[in-house]
Amino acid sequence: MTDERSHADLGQGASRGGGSGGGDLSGLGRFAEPSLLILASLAGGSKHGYAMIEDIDTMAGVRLGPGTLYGALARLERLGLIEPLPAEDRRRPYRLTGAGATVLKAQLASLERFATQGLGRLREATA
Amino acid sequence: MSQGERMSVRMGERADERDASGGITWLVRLYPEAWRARYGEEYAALLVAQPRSLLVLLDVLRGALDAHWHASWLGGGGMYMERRLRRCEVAFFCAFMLFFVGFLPWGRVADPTPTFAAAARLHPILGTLYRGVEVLTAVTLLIVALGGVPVLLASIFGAWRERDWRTLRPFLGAVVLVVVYAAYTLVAMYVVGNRPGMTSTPGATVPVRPIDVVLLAGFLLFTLLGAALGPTLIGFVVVRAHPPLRLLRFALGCAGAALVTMAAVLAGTVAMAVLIQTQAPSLNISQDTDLPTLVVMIGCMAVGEVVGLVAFLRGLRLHPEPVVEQPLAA
Repeated sequence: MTDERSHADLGQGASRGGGSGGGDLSGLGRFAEPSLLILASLAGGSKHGYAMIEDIDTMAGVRLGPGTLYGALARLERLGLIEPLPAEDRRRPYRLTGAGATVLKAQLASLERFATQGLGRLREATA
Repeated sequence: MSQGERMSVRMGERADERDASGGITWLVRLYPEAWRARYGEEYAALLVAQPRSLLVLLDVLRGALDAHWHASWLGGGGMYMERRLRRCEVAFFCAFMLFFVGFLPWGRVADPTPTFAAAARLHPILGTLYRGVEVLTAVTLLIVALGGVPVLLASIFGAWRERDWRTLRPFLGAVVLVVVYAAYTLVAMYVVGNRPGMTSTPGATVPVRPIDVVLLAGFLLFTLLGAALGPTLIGFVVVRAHPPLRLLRFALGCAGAALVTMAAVLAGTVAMAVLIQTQAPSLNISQDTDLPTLVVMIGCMAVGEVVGLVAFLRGLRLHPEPVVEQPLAA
């Protein structure tokens, strides 16, 4: 995939997420899941990289590597879903933007629907 | 003590432990320059706080690969484009040098002159082709100089203003190389050209001494070394410096024009080689224009043309992209 194409895909994802409120991170490829975890972590307040890793580990039991974290952070920042705050010492905190909150809400709602339906089917099958 | 404070203390302890190792710096250097300019410091702080493990190292390496792969938009698109453009220019220059070194034996095609003149009288196309290729080569050299010299000068003056010795050193190396090469050539020519009996009996066959063979072999080796090392050193200057983007774009345009004339020179050389073999075998007497030499010559020129074309097309694919500056919230 060329840089231009991946950029275009991501742009499309962002417009879907930010514009229509649909919220789609699929254009981020392998960074889609870490991005969702980061957005969820930042929903609890601004955090720097290490704090995000610890928070995500506590929240979801997933420990993101530094390369994965910053790959996702750079993409989310470029898409305007998060924004950097002034650096504290050498660490820079990030916070969720309005567009980021919309995308996160849409993603979590979709997961909730999926979980509800799956659990419902499981209950029906075991009843 | 809050969780955040405990975390900061842990980070501080780990920072103290590892700052001395310097390994973090090397890991961050794996990332592209533009990416480092944006994220380098905070990323280094995160790496310092990370527990060391093979998995973390692999994740960092994978992240570096990803950052290079998507460097055009992951932080500093404009810087990325300029850097890529510089590399394309250098790749084209090296390709051109290969082309030019391959072309060097061309001058021997018309040597000895009476033999060539006789063949050209019999086959006028030979003379026309010879002069045409010479003119096209001169035009190619002018075009490459027109595009390349301003970039080189801007790189050198820019590095000099900033006292950037990392950039200036390769240039000084190239200057020393040229001076030593010129001095060696003069000495070799003087010694070989003034061997005993050479001046007293003009036209006579003078035996070649072992020292002459050594000097001529040294000249050949020096020429090959200079042809490889010279463009490399100049390439380092341009890659490390920051010449203006408009000059780089102009040089890329010149490279495109030069590729057209280079293709014409290559076609002319191939035509001349075929004509010599089929129409004028009398010219096939010098070791500089026999079939193996012509094949090597055309091979070098063809590789130079193809590599130059690839570099040009890669440069052409780079579109200007504004550097995204995210406003920092207060």
